[in-house]
Amino acid sequence: MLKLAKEQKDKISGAEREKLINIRLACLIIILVASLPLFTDFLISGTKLSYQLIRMEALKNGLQQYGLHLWAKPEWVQPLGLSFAFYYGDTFLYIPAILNLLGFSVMASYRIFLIVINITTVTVTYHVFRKMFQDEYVGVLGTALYSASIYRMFLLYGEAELGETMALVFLPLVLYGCYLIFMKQDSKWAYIWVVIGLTGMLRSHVLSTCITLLFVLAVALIHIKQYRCKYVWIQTGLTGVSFVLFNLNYLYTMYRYMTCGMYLLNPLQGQMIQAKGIHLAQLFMCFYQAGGSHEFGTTGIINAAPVGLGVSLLMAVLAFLYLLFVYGDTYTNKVKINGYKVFFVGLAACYLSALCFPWDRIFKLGSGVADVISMMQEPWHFLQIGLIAFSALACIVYGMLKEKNACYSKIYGVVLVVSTLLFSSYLAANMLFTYDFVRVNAAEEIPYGEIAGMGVQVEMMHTSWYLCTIIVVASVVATVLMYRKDRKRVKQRDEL
Amino acid sequence: MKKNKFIKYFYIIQVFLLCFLAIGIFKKHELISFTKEYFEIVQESVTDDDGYQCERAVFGMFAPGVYKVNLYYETDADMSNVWSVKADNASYDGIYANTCMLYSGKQQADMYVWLTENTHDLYIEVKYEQECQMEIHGADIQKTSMGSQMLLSVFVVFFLIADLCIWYVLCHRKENVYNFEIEKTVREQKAIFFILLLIVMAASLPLFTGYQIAAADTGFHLLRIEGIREGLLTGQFPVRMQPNWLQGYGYATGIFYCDTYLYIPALLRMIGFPVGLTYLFYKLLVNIVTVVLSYYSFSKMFENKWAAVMGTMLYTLNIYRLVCMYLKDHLGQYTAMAFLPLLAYSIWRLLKEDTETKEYKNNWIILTIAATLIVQCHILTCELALLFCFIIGIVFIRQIFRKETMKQLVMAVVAIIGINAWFLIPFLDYMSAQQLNITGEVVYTRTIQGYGSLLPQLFGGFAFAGGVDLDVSGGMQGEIPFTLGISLVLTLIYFLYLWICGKVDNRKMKACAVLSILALFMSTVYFPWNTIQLMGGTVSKLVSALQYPTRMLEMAALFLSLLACSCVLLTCKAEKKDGFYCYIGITVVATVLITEMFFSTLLNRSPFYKLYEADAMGNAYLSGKEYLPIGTDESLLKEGRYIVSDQILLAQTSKNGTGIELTCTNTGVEQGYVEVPLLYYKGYQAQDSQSKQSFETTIGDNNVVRVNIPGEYSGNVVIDFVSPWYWHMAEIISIVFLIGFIVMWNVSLRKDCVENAQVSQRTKR
Repeated sequence: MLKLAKEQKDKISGAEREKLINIRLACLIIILVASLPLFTDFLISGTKLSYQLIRMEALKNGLQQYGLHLWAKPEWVQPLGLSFAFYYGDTFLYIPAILNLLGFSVMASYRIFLIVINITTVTVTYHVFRKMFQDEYVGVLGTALYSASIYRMFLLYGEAELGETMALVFLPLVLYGCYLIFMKQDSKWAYIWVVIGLTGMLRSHVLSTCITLLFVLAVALIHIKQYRCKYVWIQTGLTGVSFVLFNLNYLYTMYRYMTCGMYLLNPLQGQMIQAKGIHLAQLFMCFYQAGGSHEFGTTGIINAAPVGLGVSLLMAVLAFLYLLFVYGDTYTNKVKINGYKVFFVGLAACYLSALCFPWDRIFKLGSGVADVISMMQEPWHFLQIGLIAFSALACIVYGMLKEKNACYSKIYGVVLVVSTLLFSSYLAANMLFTYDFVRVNAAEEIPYGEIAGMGVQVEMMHTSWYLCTIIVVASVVATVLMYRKDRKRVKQRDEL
Repeated sequence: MKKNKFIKYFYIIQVFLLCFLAIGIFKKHELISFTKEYFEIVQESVTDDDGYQCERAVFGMFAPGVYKVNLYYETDADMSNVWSVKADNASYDGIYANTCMLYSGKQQADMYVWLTENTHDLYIEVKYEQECQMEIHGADIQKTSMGSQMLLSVFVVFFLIADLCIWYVLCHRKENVYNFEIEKTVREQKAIFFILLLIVMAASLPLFTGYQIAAADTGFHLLRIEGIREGLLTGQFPVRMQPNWLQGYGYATGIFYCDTYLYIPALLRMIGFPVGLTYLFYKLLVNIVTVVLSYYSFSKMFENKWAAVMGTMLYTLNIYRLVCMYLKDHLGQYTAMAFLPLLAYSIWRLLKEDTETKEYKNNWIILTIAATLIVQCHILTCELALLFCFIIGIVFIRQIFRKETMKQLVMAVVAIIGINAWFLIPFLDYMSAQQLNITGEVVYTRTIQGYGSLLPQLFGGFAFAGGVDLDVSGGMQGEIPFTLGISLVLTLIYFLYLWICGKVDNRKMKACAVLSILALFMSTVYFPWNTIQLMGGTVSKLVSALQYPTRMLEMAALFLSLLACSCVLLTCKAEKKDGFYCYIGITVVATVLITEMFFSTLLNRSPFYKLYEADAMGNAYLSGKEYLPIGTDESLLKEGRYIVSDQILLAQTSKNGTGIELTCTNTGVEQGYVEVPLLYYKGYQAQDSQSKQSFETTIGDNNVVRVNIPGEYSGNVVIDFVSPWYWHMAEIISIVFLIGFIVMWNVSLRKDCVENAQVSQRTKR
């Protein structure tokens, strides 16, 4: 292995090696900044922290008692059970649950899990942006803006919104897949990225999946002219089919839970959500104070939770608008159109998350619509799309600036990365300074943890579920085999 | 061709849409009445222990629009009962209505309600103390044309802006001949426009919340806007006596605190916009004007657009200005700050070396405009500006005592006094003739030194938006940040460094530096204000009128912004541009960080109002009560409080703004009196409505208007505020001077245009 490493080192030139070190160091710093609040002996008491720890603990108990196939924990909420299994995907919670089983404390398991999420997010985002923009430094820029963003920090620590944080790991993959399908159009495996992304999101946070699907649909509509091309039809079809096949058992479970009538599907039924949208002034602030209020409509920004995208993304947006306004005629239509697409998607997401979007009027259109809207709970969940869109826009602007002057683009990149890390650190410090904290080493110490101790009820496995699972496994295996075969064939062709 | 067709269709759509909206204004709407039987007691309100109970009447379903709701009632409790219009299932932004107070002296209350969607269960609710007497006689609701008026005005503005943009694009399309210089200039113009727009947005961040931050004087200024509106609606112009204050007793704020710019939000109120929104719009307008005038003035002074942009950014985003606008709500001061750069430019022009140019002979015009703009909003800023102009005059005494400069100054002074006579005459009249708090000893003997800033505040890096403004003995805990921000302080330090290095040879800039240090010093607790005040007389009055030494920071901000422009100019011309880049980089970053930190703490900590309606904020907040007659007990100022002498019989009364009409009889032979619910200010007159016989008006108990009724009189007496004849003379003088000024300005502009055209023709040849 050492010999291999040495051979690799010899292959790479000095400048390349230095670049590689810079990139890795930058990614490490991003991970560190995003994980800083975890290097303590306590946990910041985020809004849903107890809920997450209870889920972990319940999963661990279930694993101990019944093994891997758990269905629901219906005794968690009386009188009807709130099923975690479909409402809030458990798949990735097996990691901290297993760590907990192996002997790590609840707190340590949770913290290790968050660090793993941060590492994965940074890695995935870096590779996605690097591949999209064919530039390692752009990869770092996009990663910093996305992974160390205010919104993500808020989700990780302020809200302890584990599901959405995990979903954010996979969102860049969806972006990458859409890029390959609608813009690059040179790979027959483009759809697989969308499928992996959506699958990961589905297994993490159903709401994020629905929001992402909505925007994927919007992106498809924007590119409706591309549907003249057979390739796009095939990719879209494969995306849909593969997504269903890869998640058949999960979707089947969801269907069963929703139709059996035993479980509470929407505890917030009938509740309007517009008053929980964010003020425009909150979207792009520099310094977010670590407040706890979510009722932005009634209490304004006083003691507001730090929900927003941060000023770094605003700088990217303003740079884009400035370049278009002042130098618009010097850029090709392709560059401008790509920028517009991403800009308007981000803008739409921000508008949907804001107080001024008429959610309550849409709520009143009918009971079905009302149910869907109330399930969303808070409109600011749409900010995740704004986050990925504006991060991509920042990368596009880097390219636009590079056309003008390479020095400007470097300054722009450095300023954006440094400001992101600076303001995220400020928020982290503020949260550590302001929020309550807990020290949880054992299940008994989880606030309200006695609920988890009520045990789990396992429903008998249905034959259909086994069938679905077989289909899922077969689909995944088949896809992997086909992919490997195709790669081998391409490699052989290249060698020839 | 396609584009021209699109523009044509766009114009057609504009015309149709505006006509359609205009028709909506003239539509008549039904008045829907509800008798007292419709009101039912809300049982839950009786059983809970808060001492209040509610009565409710359901109005039913209403379409979107602006509605006027009237409530008819009788109560013996003053300002402790409230009423509101609500809808339980309305969207978050479906209904805009406040909870308003009920007064014991009134039998009718009204409010406006803005509905933005079909509302199915609109109801009126009256909440009153269980122990008080409350009788509800009924209510009615009627749709007004304000909704159409609001829409029409919004579309008019939108189409105006759109048409301007189309015109600009079309004009520039005509110049589309390839020319590198023109292209470069156009790009530069666009870049500067973009940055200036950004500065406006940055300075207006708290306005995008849609609510009003509850600063010290917010209620006072909102009442002023309502007062102008009510004054205009009752036929008063200009509005001297605002009738809405102190339960209708009126307040002479229009005479002491010039309201000219508040006519804009007042007109918007009359169109139908909620009062809070009009005030937010006003602040946005002030930010725009500040940026535009700063940029214009600095670019003319330094003949460098980018230096002007730098100065504009630092001036607009200086913390003291933002504190005035958002934390203290000193409307006059932050409005005056918008015009100070123009004043600086006019003084700059006066001090130019060459006095023989045609351009120099028009300097009085700019000075007149700048000074008038400031006089029309804040007398205290005039005082400060005069002080510093005097100091500048001493420093540049040689330039001031040139024949042409003196001529320009005299012309400007005459024009300023003439144009502002309509405000200055009544102001001086009341200052000398009325016994008010502002002219009394309490104010004059008030010391101010303790309210200055401390060095950590002045030179501190960050500004936290505290809300407290105490004497120095209160320390700094929770204090308002009396600072300009580190950027301007760094500018001063950098300029002094350049001066020491011998790179500064401009005498005016050196004077700016010295004046800025002086202004900074004067804003602190270390400047001997109390000692100066001991001199007594006019000096003591002028010092105490300042109220806070920190007001000096507005002058310091101006001088330091000029230094910033100078620093940019000096360093960009240098061979090595390291200093230039460092200064720009550090200053811009520091400004952004400090401004954002200030806004972050401001928005996170400050309480706020969501005010749509005048009555929601009451009408008794007088800020420092400066214009109240000395010795007035506000608690005795109750709506409908008529006090008569024994032999007077009062049959009927009606009030409209500052006017009261009453029917009375003096059953005795001796003179009697009627004291009416109006605060006594010079100018109230009473006469018989038929015979026009005048009755003597004097100051009654508690400084109300007392009308002496002769013996055996019976009839209708009309009491109203009437401006003295010399006030009307002053108004005429102002109009004449204004017209004359505009004509002379126009003539000089045309002369300049003709000369410029001749020069460019000669150049082409």
